[in-house]
Amino acid sequence: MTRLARITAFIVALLVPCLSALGELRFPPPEFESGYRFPEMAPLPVARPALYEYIDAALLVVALLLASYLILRRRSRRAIFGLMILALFYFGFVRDGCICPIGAIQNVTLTVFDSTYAIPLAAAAFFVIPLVFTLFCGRVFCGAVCPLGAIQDAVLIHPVRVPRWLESGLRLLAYTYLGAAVLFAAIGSAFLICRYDPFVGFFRLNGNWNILVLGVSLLVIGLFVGRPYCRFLCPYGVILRQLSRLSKRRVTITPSECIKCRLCEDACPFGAIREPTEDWPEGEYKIAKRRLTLFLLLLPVLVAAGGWAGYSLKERLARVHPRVRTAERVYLEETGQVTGTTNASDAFRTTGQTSEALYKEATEIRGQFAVGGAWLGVFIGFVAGGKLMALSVRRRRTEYEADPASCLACGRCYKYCPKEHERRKKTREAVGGR
Amino acid sequence: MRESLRRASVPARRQLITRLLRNASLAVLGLAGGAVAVKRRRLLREGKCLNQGGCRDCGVFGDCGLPRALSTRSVLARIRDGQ
Repeated sequence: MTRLARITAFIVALLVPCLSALGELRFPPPEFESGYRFPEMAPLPVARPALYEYIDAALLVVALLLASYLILRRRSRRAIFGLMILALFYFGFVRDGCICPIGAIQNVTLTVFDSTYAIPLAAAAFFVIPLVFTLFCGRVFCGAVCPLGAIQDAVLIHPVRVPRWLESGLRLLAYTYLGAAVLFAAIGSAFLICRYDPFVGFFRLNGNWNILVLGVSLLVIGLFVGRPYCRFLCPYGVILRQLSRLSKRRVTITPSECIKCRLCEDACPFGAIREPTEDWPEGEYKIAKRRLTLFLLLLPVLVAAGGWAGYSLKERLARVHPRVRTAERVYLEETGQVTGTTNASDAFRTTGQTSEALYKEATEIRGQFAVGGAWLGVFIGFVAGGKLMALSVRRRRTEYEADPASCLACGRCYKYCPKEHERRKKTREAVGGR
Repeated sequence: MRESLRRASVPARRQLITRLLRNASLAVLGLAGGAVAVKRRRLLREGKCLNQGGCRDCGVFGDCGLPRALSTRSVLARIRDGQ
């Protein structure tokens, strides 16, 4: 059986159970005349006893310790892959993909902005523990523990190289997604990351059809582009990226001195290997310096433009909030611009609240979105400016290195390094000679 | 000589900044964790529900004095007594 056939069989085996999402319920709910529609999202997993959540947090620590050992000490791609599949099975399929550190960003945001909300301790632990490990060992969570990363890594068969400028540009999507997720969670509108999690439908073997299609599309893209969700969309990846720049230990391609054989250059499907740099010729250096100055001057313009664009989007953003939607509907009904009522407007009237109170609440929420939208725009403008400036900065490297921010610690580069083979041979001989 | 000193000090300077930032990040994470724990205790003291109104699997259900928990406990007691 070829590798392609094996991976195709794996994907089919993964997707076949999802067809149950199309199946009809054996005891379908009665068709009420209210026209109620079930929420279009993957069903929430059954609540688990608190003790189980602490066990999950402990298992996360164990998995991260093991991942750190396998990635930094043992340096074995096969062992990393094995742990990755175990993590996919447990944190993905057994635990229905919840709680995950990616979604926990929203719980953390809500606990900061809502004085009455207390984050579950397990969610806080799932958010913080991978960050702490990243500060010490790099992105070991992405490499071997994240179920979303594992499902994409497992299907990668023919990686193509994404140009660095395109990768850098596409990564702006992840920053935007992070900013939007924080904004919506802070205002209490929606948990975007959970709602649009592309793989949770696979883990729960059920879910919204559109999201399942999104998940399948990402897996199909992932056959050729390594981990597209992790690299271009994951909001938690944005945080891990920045923290991994500060990590104490990180992936090194070669266990000793680099002989610059360039065998590892094409090994990384995520474009994380950086080649040694030469000193810039005087002319080029001057151009880069001038460009950096230009981008520095451009930064406030980008930030201001982003802030203005975010502020202008306040109406559209606010419409995601259910109270604003209800207020708009009630207004249309009361001014006779539409006929009939909706579940939301009927439910509002049964509360006995006045329309004025609802409009006032909606205006307050719009105001929050105006401020939040402006901040979101400022953030995106700042990131875009920073990315432009990074183009003009060159870090001196004397050997082939894995970029700590982009490296997902998958361990693929190890087996390409002749020095690594030498080390393994020595280790085997030492073990055999004992 | 001066040039080589300047070059040699760059990695050391970078390492120092990295270490400072790493320790600062750890301190922020630690403080944030502490703040979360303090907030939970405060909300509990103020009589706010920590489990968004759901008593099932709530870690503090046994000692909770909120109306919902009291009524849930009385229903459970009635079920237990077979009434």
